[in-house]
Amino acid sequence: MLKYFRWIFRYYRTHRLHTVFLALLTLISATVALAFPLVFRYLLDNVQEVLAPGSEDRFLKLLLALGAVGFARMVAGFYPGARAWLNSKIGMEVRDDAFGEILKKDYRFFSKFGPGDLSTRLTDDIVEYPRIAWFSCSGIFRAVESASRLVFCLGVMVFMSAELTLLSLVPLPIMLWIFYRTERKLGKRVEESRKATSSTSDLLDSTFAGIAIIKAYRAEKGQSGRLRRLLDSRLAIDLSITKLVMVIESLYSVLGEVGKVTVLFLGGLFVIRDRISIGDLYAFYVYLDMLLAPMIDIPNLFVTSKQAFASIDRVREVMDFPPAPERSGVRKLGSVDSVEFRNAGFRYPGCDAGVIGVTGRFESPMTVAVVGEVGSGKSTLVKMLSGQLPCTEGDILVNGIPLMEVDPSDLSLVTGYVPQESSLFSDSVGENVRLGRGMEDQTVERALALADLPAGDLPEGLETKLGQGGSGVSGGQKQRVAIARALAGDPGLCLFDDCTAALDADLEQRLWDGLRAEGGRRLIFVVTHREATVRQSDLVIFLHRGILNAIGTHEELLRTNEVYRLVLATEMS
Amino acid sequence: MHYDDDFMDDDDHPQRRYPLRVLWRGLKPIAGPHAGAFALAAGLLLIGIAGELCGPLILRQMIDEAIPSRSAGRVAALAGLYAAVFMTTMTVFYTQVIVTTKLGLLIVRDLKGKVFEHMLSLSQSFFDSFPSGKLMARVESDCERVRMLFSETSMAILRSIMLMTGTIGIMAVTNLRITGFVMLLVLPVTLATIPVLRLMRKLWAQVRASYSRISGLVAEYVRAVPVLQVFNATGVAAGKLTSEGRRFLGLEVKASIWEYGFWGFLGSCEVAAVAVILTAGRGGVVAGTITVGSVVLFIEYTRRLFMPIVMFSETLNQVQRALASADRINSILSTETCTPDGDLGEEDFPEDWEEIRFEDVWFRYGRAEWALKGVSLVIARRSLVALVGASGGGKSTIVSLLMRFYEPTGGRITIGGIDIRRFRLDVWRRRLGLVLQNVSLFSGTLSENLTVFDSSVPARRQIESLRTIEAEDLLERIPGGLSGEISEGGQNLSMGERQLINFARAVLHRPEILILDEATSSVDPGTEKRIQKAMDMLFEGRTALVVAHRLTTVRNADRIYVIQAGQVVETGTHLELLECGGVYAGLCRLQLVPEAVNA
Repeated sequence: MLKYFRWIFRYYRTHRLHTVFLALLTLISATVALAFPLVFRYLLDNVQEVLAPGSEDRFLKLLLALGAVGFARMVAGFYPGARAWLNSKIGMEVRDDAFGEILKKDYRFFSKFGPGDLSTRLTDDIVEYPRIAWFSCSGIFRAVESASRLVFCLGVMVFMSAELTLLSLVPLPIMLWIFYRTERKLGKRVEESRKATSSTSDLLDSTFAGIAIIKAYRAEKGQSGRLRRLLDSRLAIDLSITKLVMVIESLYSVLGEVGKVTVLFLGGLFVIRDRISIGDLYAFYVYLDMLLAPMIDIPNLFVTSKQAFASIDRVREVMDFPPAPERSGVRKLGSVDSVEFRNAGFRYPGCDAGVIGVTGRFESPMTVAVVGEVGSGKSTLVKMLSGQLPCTEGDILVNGIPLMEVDPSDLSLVTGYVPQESSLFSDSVGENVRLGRGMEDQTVERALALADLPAGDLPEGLETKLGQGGSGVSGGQKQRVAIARALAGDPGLCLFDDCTAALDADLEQRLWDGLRAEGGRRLIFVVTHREATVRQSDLVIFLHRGILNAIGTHEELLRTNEVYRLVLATEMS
Repeated sequence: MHYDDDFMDDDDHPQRRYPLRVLWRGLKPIAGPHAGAFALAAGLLLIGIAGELCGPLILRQMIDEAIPSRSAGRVAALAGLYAAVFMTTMTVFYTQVIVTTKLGLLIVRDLKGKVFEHMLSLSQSFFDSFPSGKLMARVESDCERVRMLFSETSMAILRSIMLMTGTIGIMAVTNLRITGFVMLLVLPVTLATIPVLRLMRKLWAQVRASYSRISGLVAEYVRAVPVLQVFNATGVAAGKLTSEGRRFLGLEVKASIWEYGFWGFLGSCEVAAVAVILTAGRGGVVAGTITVGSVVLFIEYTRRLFMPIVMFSETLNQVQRALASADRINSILSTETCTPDGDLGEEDFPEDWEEIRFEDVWFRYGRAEWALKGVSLVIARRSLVALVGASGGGKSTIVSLLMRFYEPTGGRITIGGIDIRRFRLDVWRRRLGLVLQNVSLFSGTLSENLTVFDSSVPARRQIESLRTIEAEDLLERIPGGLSGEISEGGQNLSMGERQLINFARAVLHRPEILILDEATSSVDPGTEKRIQKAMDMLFEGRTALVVAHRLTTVRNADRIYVIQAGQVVETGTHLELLECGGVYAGLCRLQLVPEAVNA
């Protein structure tokens, strides 16, 4: 348990001033809580003196005291705000740290953690109540405040009358125990309710998204019926939740009122017997009121801490996962003259998938088609070339230098990569093409033109905004932006991973024509299903069942390789 | 926290189209039957509030009479009375909340059911105008707000009014003068809260929007880290996230200052009120015109006055939002479908029809460009007709019109000489089997996806439909077979498997007329061949309209229509069109299918 607090306190270090300020406010808040009833105690006990004519200065002093309390209250009002601010600051820092760590990971990490899961860990796990952000500051400070409030108030109450304090607190432990039992039951029902709501959302979403099928197959009545049945079950669950919540709230009230009734009854008796004053009675009455919240808050800390610690575990799991091995390469490339595979291979840990036995040398300028049936290892090969996957056996050499020894940022400069899913971002088209490289508009426009998507065709040219994940434009346009992004840096090594599936055949043809016309000196590797593209390549890497089968020209392979002919007949279009 | 209130976004400036009268008329049939429960809840609330107001009165008695009288019996009696009042109040409130909640839940269940049912009766053009997310918000969030309007919100308003009236009333009866002074403080504060709360709502909406952007960034970056690494652009992503995070903090600080400043200010107002009471009551206590107990009474009541006042403001805002929701619901309930049922039924259907004809059909979506300009085509019974052409040329539109998802703007579509608009929708659609490009699978079992939630279809027939297209292996591949779960959108299956299920679904419904809209363009070539084989078997004896993107599937068509820019530009068989060397021939050449060119 201590390790969680240690992890959180590390974040306090950068906010020392803020933390001290909060500690101060905690003190003020607890003191204000104390002071208010004491002022009244004084008033009630000294009614005649204070309110008599001629005692103006006494009365004024009282008003001043009230003024001070009022002002302190205003200041203390900012206390939760100051907590919320530190909550958010810490939350942001945790997110930035975790994201920074994720950026350093490699394929082993991403095959273990899906994007949805990672998103949740970086958002909900941090920001939702009562997770990391809330707990790191509010959770801890509220508990401290509650504890100090409790101690101070109880202290004063005991000072006024130890017996009355004890007597008014006696029924409370029993009540608290009932309270916590009911809360746990509530937790279970709330989970059920969330599931039911989630099912309703699923039903609605899939109905609307698939409305054509629903209408085509006359399923409207059926869906209405299904919704009604779901709503009926939600009604039952929600009603039972309300009942439970009301029981809890009532218990809460009873907790408070039982104390108050005891005070009124016993306290009244005590006053009659002159053991306490009327002022004391009223003060007790108000203190008991104030004590309830802290008494629920402190045990609440244990409940919320469990959830917060679970989230901390989830975030640390991501952060502590071993990062990609340091590519300490410092060799620079300049231009790309050749790529050589020496029995290169990659296998995913613990299974047969991947590709092995690739040997061959390719010199720029050249277009190399990578061909094979689904699952033969084509994408894997391209990912190895881009540096995303390491060689678990053999080597890949660029200009005679092993890939691992090349300075990674240098490799980025000469590589143009188009992934299978375009991977665009919610930004302008121009920024997507630039991707942080300081390029002029002219360069961006030229790249787009090469990719057959002239800026003029877009509604707002380079400033056209893409939605989340690059939405808002057609699949074909997305691919073309991704292609422009790859070509914008004038790369010597181009890697196209099956990215032309969303393009019409004629569009793809225009791309190759454009590249050829532009005349750059490039070494292009393209994974393709289109026979037209294979025909136009200089060489073909033919992969079959995860192993290199052959390398040669398309005509050679057609003539001599039976498997090639077969695969072409079934796989290509 | 404020972050997950995302149904509040829509309406910081609620637009209202319908006057209250009309809204009430629309909601009355659903809310009306519950009027009795509502009255009961209101009555209970009144009793409860009365009980709540008793507390300080008993305290006053205690301070002014019971204790000075030194009578233990009196003290005991008062304490007992307090306990009794408290228990009664608690029971009454408990019952009131249960009654109110139940009333709300019943209303919302009926309302959601009604809205959903009505939506489903509307035509495709309605669904084109609203993304699924917005429609869901109408059914869920908007209906929930209307529920709250009739339950919690109404009760909160009543509670505030009753509490304020009761509190001020008792104070006024006790001592008018002090009450006057207290009101002098309370009233301006109340009025001030309205614009402040409005500002706070706006600020928090900005905070929520910023957080939403952060979530969006995280989601898309996390998905694309390897690509970012290849482009050495990880720093760009991290920088963007950090700067958006800073922006969020700035917005949140601003909103917090207002929020907590406001509550702090209210806290000090309470103290100020006490000072006012003391000053105003000073003379009275000395002169004996007001007791100490009464002063305490005033203090206790004033402490409880501020909350209802602030809550009242906030509640009014909720009422506004709820009315905006009711407005939106009403606009949906009063929308009519564009493709109404005709009056001809099963018995009037021309069983011996020979042709389906498109007769000079013109169509456009709303005021957009014409999608179809005078399209005329003939689909002969038991023939296979293919539509080809570049994407966006109008092929999918033709299919949608045949399905009667839309009405032709001009011209008509007939079967056996009768306009299809004359038939009841279910009569017409029963004869069609649709397979779509955007593969539409529902989260549910395989069986539910095949039967589209018709539980009356026997398993035998479902298995048979899979067998017809040689896809029985799906029963093994999917854990659980027919009862196997298919996740949302079919994520746990491959593209090919999803297409096969869609296909089996069409087969299961034994249509006379098959419609396949680009069914094979999103599948890898291996599975495509498999589906094509199944299609051939299926077309046997049926009429089929295929929207083809790949020419290889179309070689066997009895007739091909080439659609370009909303018009039929060429028609004929595959060989005829090749020979004539026009658009079709050009499309073929690009695909470089050697057998086709040489045939």
